[in-house]
This record gives sequence, structure tokens and C-alpha cells, in this order.
Amino acid sequence: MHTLIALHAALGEAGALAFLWVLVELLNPNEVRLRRARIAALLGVLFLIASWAAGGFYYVTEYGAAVKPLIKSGPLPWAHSVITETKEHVFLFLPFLAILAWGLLTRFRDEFMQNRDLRIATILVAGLVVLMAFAMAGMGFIISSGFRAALEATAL
Amino acid sequence: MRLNTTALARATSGVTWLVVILTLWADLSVPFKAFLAGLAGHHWVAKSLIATTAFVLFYFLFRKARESESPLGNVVFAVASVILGSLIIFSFYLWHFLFG
Repeated sequence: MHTLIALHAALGEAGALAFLWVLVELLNPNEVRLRRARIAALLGVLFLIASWAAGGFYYVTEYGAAVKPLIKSGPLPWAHSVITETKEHVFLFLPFLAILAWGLLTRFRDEFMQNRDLRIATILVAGLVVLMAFAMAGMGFIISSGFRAALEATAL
Repeated sequence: MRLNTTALARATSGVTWLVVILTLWADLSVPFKAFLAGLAGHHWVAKSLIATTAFVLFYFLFRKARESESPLGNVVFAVASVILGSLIIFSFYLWHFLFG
């Protein structure tokens, strides 16, 4: 496993967990929970941006030249043609969604305790960030499987 | 500076649809993909930079509009845009792989 891929996956999962934390804090908010939610959201934004940079650097410098051709000529070519192509573009939505969730928490601060619409809006965004970040991890697993299958086919 | 969450939600929706258009256009047009690659060395890096710049521009553009009292409508639109945009991108590449 390449170090950059490990970093990309670990930072992405940390981002997902940070927004899961946000979601839990918003279920029954008070001042202390909202302060923790703002910290978790800020950490989540930073983790996802760092994951974007690590994954992007790997994708541009290593994946295109060394991994993509092997997957495409292996037994699971759709792992690149469908899954990598989807992942690399859908990932671009994540940091902006994360910034939206952080922005809502920062702008409305303690109003969340009285305003149900605010809670629903922010839970929707945080929930989508969690689901999408875990979906990215699942897609990463499929891409790695495509690469492994291609290597096994070459070795055998 | 106080954040305008209406502008933030609209900027998120705007960037989502911009990424969908850039993705499909670049895969359907070789010259456009080459143009993007020429901008930043790689088409994906160009899309990332364009998306980031557009997010900032959209935010400052929409910031002039009054912030709505409840952000729910704009947020639901942004969430729906991301879900629909993701499905469009996945369906496009699936179709491209099966029939392209």
C-alpha cells in the first residue's frame, strides 16, 4: 500500500467520523454540545481538505501512470472506468458540503436549541457528508480490489 | 465577517452543477479535456481549482442577496443537487463503460 493512499483514506475516515460526531451533538443540542459540534465540524473540514490533497497528489503522480493501465487491462476494468472515474469527481462535492455544515454551525451558534429547521438542515448536510465519505472508502476498496486482481492475473 | 448561509448553500449547489457539467463535457470532448489539462497539468487538478475558485466567486456573488431567515430550503436544494449530481456522474460512467 502506498503511504499517500493510507493518508488519504485515514484523513477521509477521520473527516467522516468528525461529521458523525457533529450529527450526534445536534440530536439534542445545548451550549456545550454546540461548541463541540463547531470544533468537530472545523476538524472535519480540515481532514477532508487534507484527504483531497493527499488523494489528488497520489492520483496525479502515481495512479495514472502505474495503476490505471493495469486495472484497465485486468479482469475488473470497470473498477477504474466506473468506480475511479465516479470517485474522483464525486469527491469534489465533499469539502464544499463540509464547509456548508461548518458555516451553518458557526453562523447560527446557539439558535440551534430553539430552531428545529436549523437542526434538520445541518443534520441533513452532516449526514450526507458521513454517507458520502464512507461511500468513498467503499469505492477505494473496489479500486484496490481491481488493482489486486490485475496483479494476480499478471503473476499467474 | 458574518457568514451568509444562503450564499454558502447556493454556492455549494452552483459548484455541484459546475462539476457535473465539467465532468461530462471533458469526457465527451477531447479538446476540452486537453484544454483543462493544459490549464493545470492534469484535467482533474484543473477541475479542482475551477471548483474552488467558483465556490468563492459564487459565495461573494450570492452574498449580495439578503440571507433568508430559514436556511432549510436552500440547504435541501444543495443536498438534493449533490445526490442528483453524484447519480448523474455514476450513471454517465456506467453508460460509457457499457455502451461507450
